Amino acid sequence: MKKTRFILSLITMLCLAGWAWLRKPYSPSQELEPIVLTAFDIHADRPAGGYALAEAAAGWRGVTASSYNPASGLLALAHTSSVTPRDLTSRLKVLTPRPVSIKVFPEPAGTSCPVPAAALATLPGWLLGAGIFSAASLALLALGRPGKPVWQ
Amino acid sequence: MIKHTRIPALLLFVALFFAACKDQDGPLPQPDPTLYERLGGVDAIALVVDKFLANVVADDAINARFAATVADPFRTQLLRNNLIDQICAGTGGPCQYKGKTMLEAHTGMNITDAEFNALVGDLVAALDFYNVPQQEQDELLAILGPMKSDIVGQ
Ligand code: HEM
Repeated sequence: MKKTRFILSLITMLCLAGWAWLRKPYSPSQELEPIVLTAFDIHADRPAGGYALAEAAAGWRGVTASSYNPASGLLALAHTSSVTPRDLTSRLKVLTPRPVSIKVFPEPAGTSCPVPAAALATLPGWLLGAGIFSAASLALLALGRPGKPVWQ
Repeated sequence: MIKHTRIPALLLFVALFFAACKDQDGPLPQPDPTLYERLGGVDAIALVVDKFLANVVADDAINARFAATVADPFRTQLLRNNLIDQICAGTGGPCQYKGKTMLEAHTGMNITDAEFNALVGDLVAALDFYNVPQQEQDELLAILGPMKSDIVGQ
């Protein structure tokens, strides 16, 4: 019993310390609607055509920023998830007779973290959950008679 | 006699007392607005950062560097919020930058001077787009500029 309590206390402390260390403090940026970045190859024959598309797209609902670069021929849009890249492609196609395609950048060479960033971000939440769970188990054990498991 | 000579002094004291009180009732000197306030707060900074990121993604001098970021919406979000927090905190706003240090974030990337300049150019274009006055642009670049040694050639 003593051993169980010791292990539970250790788990509680480690989980809560890990959570406190990894936890992100509040910042007003957390309240902003998330955005996605999508680049389009718009094959504009003249820069003016590209700029006109960029200007039109900037006014669309869900688009927070738009940028056309004549050197690369790319139109990049920052947009919320209320519009999908496919929606945007179809809307752009309506405005230009030129082909429009989503630009996929080649992944840079070298090693990258095998764990997705989104999974890593959930770690503090899991640690807090585990910490609370083991603290609750510890409390239940403490309520039981010493030397006797609570479920007996 | 002594009493009479004290009356003007007393009157002077009372007059000064009320004058001092009157001054205190007047408007207190306002502290100069921070760069954060002059930029327009977190919403305005977010607009500039979104435009800046769109400029970077369209800029083939550096966009390949951000291939993994663009491909993963979570990483996009992380970079965007880190940039907003970094600018917000650096300009005196109520944010806390929670990302890596500039050295940690850019080590192993071997970023060149030309790439750094291209990125700064994309930021200036975003500030120009939103008509941020020259004074505020200079102050912001003076905050970001010294980070160059931790970013280039690491
Ligand atoms: C004043 C200049 C710069 C500033 C203020 C800056 C700021 C930042 C910040 C705040 C992060 C996020 C750190 C984190 O994930 O915790 C970051 C990541 C990054 N930066 Fe920079 N940076 C600068 C210049 C550059 C340049 C010149 C390049 C390359 C051309 C570059 C490429 C990257 C990349 C690829 C990442 C990783 C993005 C990701 O993890 O998805 N940065 N930078």
